[in-house]
Amino acid sequence: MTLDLLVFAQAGGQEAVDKFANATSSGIALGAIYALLALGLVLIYKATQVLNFAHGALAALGAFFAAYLATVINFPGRYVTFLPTTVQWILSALVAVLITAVVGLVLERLAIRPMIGEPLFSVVMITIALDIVIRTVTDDLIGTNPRPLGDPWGADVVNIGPAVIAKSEIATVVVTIIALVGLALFFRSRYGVAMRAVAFDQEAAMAQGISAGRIFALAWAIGAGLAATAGIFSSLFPRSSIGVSNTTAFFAFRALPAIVIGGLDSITGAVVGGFIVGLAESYAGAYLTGATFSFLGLGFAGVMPYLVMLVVLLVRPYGLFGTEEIRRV
Amino acid sequence: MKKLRIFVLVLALALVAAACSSDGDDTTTTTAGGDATETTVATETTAATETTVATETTAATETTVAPADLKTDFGVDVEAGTITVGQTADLTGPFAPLVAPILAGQQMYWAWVNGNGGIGGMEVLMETRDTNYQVEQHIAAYDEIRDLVVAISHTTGSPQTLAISDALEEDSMIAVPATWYSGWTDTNIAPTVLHTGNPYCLEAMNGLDWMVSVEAEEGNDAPTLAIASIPGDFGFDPMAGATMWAEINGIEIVYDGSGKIIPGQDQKPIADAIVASGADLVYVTTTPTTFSEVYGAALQQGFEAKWSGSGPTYNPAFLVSPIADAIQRDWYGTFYMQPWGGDSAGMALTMQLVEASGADIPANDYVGLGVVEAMIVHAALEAAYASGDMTRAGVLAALRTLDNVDFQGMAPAENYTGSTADQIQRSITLWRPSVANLEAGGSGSEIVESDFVGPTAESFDFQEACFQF
Repeated sequence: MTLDLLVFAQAGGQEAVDKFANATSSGIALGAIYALLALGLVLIYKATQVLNFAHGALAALGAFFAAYLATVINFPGRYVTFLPTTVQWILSALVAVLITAVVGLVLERLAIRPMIGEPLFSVVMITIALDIVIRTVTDDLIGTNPRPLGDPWGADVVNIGPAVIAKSEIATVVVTIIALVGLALFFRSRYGVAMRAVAFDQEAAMAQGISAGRIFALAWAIGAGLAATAGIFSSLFPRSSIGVSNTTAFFAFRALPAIVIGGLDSITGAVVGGFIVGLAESYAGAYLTGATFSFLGLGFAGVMPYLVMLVVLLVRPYGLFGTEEIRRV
Repeated sequence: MKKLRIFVLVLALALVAAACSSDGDDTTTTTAGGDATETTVATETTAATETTVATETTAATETTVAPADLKTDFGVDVEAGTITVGQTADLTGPFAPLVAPILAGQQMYWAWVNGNGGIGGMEVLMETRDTNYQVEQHIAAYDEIRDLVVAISHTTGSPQTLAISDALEEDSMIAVPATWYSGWTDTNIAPTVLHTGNPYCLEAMNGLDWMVSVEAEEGNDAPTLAIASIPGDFGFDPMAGATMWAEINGIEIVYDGSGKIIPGQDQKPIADAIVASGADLVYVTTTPTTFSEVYGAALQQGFEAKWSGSGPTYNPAFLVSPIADAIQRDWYGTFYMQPWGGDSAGMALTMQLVEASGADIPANDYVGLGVVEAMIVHAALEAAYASGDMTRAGVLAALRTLDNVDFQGMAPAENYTGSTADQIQRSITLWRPSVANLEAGGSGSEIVESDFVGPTAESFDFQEACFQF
């Protein structure tokens, strides 16, 4: 498909090549953010069988922490002034991710753990309640005006071939790759194996001495950390030039088609789904607009991921990488 | 099970606490003018009192009507000595950054009025509801307060205000909208909703008249135009103005994205289309957040043009963001009144009120707008009091006798009598974004010209709303 599009683009001359290159780079950057969000959602779902509706709120909270640490109290930058400002900002972002992970840990302990054994629907409702609480508190913390994150890349761009790419977009993709590698290593660790065991068969894992509760907490902590990372990078130029605001939390819902496309319980699927959604949205925005496609109506780019999702579900009802569930009836 | 019950209880408490934690609570009744600070305001601004309030208001204050003889229905309690005005305000939605300072301005103004004897000795209270910029919430908010108030001194949003306009008319309730839809001036649409300032479509004409003159000075006599907006009357009214401006002036519209900016979606396609059009002038109307996304994505591609848009599209927060340098270069701002720190008696009063309030209110152009909104209602209430009829119908009737509500230079005077053409406001303030101004304690808006009327806006035959539903 990509090759076809490239040929199509080249047939239209330099302008078309530029358009295709920019749509692709933008789609990849957007897909990276969706992948980060989807990874967190899938991780929590895999371990606890719960779709976390508070994920967007955690993303916004993490972005707020980063903005506060980097631009208000300059932590930990004020203690490491000998380091370059870029490193100082990265440290602030890291601390923000860690704080959000701790919030995730606490939420799991206070709100999710007591619900073990209760119907899953009830637990999902709890995550909706958590979303409202966290969003309200975060909105209050942010205040009425958006908060810039003070990142070192600002509005800087680089030209890579015909594509004009923001430095923050490159950073987003790099961070997503780092997160992926980190998760891959984690799943090879003792706790990672334990998490896989709990996800595979909770009772059997517990019989082997694995603490399911601890694994749930760990999944929520990592999921919240990933949400915060996505929140931070979705609040940077050019995605949101003025930083984290009271609309940031809603961005996470755009990643929902990604986890369905990839398969609800697949880490690989989350990443692939994220990039598919990002690219689909970007290509639809670039090519399915203008007078020729006016019959598609306004905002068709936002519908495109759901169309892709429907097509995927028709062919593979459990998503591209999801586990097929067989029930005896 | 016991654990579960305790947990549910804790969660419920947390929800209640969260709901109550907002700075701008959903429900607030504010008594303005009762405390020591407010008394100080009155004392310190005695001189301003005599020069600032509209002529009609001053005259009305001197008219003595025994409160017992007043005709009243809703929102005026003669025995308690209170007059309640309502606000259906977006305190938590996309325009909250602009609405919060508006309400702060209103609060300070009513405190000052109360400190100066109120209206016929009665003090003015504020009854505020949060609407989150949601139409349904706005309707519910109005339903909640409609029997508690005599007038609505603030209602956020065009579609939201339009949604309650029938109810407002049914109640004979005057309402000052924080929206500049040209239909508010059209006497056939929402007759109790009061226009204030240059409507969106004429604002677009004024802004484009200004930008095209700058282009001409720079040697470009045939600039091209790209336009884009969110759907709805907030977007379509200015787009109608920009389109008419282009037709009148023979300017080519190289990209028309009217209604194509959908908040919450990826805005890069809009930016791509604007960039591809190669327009010299861009006119955009949307929320500040989505504007930053469109502008940021265009900027990423190295696009340079003169940008402008309806007032609420811009947010001073742009000046402390990564796009600060570019926005200083590109944005040609228009506003319905003088920005913060403007040179007028009205703005001097606003500055005094801010200083005397002791509140930590950042420099923001919308504080003055709150004062202007309150001044309109104040003038209507004073006129109604003078007539002895403070029913809602009485306030409406009194308002319709005011042909020169004067804001002492802070905003162009308004006429609420006569035909649509008589009432249209053509004047606007031009300004440029300035980090230096912001760093010097201003709002970041450097005034270029007050009371500007461009040639297209001046000659435009305004007989009805530019955009009809």
